[in-house]
Amino acid sequence: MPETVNTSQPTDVNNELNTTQAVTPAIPVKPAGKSWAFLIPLAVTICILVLGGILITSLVGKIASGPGGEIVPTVADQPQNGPSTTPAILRTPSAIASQSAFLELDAAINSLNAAITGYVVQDLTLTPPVLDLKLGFTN
Amino acid sequence: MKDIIRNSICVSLGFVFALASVNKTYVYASSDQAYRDYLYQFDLYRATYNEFQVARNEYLKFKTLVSETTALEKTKIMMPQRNQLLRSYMLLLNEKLNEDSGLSPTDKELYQALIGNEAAFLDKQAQLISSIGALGDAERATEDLEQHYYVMQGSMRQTIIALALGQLNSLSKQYDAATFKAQGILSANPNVFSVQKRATIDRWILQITNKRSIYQQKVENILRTNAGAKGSNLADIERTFGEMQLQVAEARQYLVEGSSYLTELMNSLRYLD
Repeated sequence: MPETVNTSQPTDVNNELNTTQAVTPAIPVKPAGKSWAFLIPLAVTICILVLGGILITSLVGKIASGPGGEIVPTVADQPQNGPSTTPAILRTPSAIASQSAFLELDAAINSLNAAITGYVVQDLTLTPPVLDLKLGFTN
Repeated sequence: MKDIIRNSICVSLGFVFALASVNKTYVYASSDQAYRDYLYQFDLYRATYNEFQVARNEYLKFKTLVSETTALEKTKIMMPQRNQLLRSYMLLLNEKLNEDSGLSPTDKELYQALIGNEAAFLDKQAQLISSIGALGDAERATEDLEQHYYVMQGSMRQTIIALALGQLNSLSKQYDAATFKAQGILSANPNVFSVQKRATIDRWILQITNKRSIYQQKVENILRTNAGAKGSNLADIERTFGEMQLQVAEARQYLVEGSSYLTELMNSLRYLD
């Protein structure tokens, strides 16, 4: 009587592991000591970018500070308290300016300026009529 | 009762409309009215002249008695209208002279006399026209006007230049008054400004009076040209007239510059520094 194997029975785990180790795996597994090697180019790139950034920042800072080494204030550095008006030149009014004669004269000159500007040399309403007088019955 | 109410409403409405019509009555200056009349006469003249041209062309083409009679009829309508047009223009000039405040009374009388002479000539023409009985009479009356026409055109342009000078004169009077007043204010306040500023102000006033002198020279030049303006043909008259108008514009420019100096002077006087 041949010996039959009951497949419905759970297999022995240890036995199965031993069987797996014996079979050569399809994908080669990298050696555990060289797993970080692929990070080297990435790290180098990051280092170059960081160093470049530092270099550019320092160069820009040097250019902006000018020859004296002072930092030139930019518009953003200045305090902004809303729109500012052009500073008016403070002039001392003369004693004449408040006199009534002066004010009258000022008005008279303004009126004169307006009158001269409004004066038109060529009054088109006065263009004389130019007529063809000849009757033309006799040649 | 209803009739009384209706009547009273009608009367009050009539009163309101009457008031409104009174308010809408505008009063024009005499020269405005004269200008309106001149334009109206010009329209009438154009209409009569067009009809005259049609009748004349027909007469010249057909030489019939009918066309001759029509041509004479249209000529007798057109010629008085031409006279009326010239008269209305003379009246416009006369009204402008009346309203002018810059001309001296003597100058005004002189130019009004010129216009009066032309009006008298047109009156004589009107008498001639009324006695026209044939196309030959019409030709003779027109020849009379043609011979005098350049004198008339010259008088018209002389008066126009006189009116322009009158307006300039009115402006120069204001200019003189302002300069005189500014000098008066400075004389009354001799120690207001520093010596240096005072010297500058004096120099500016000198420039203002100099500008006035140059203006006066130009005006006198125009007056001389206008008094002797003559021409044997319309082109000559137009050329001289154009030159005088150019000189009037130059004289005005001197006043513009002088008044701008006056404004600068006022700005300087306003402050101590």
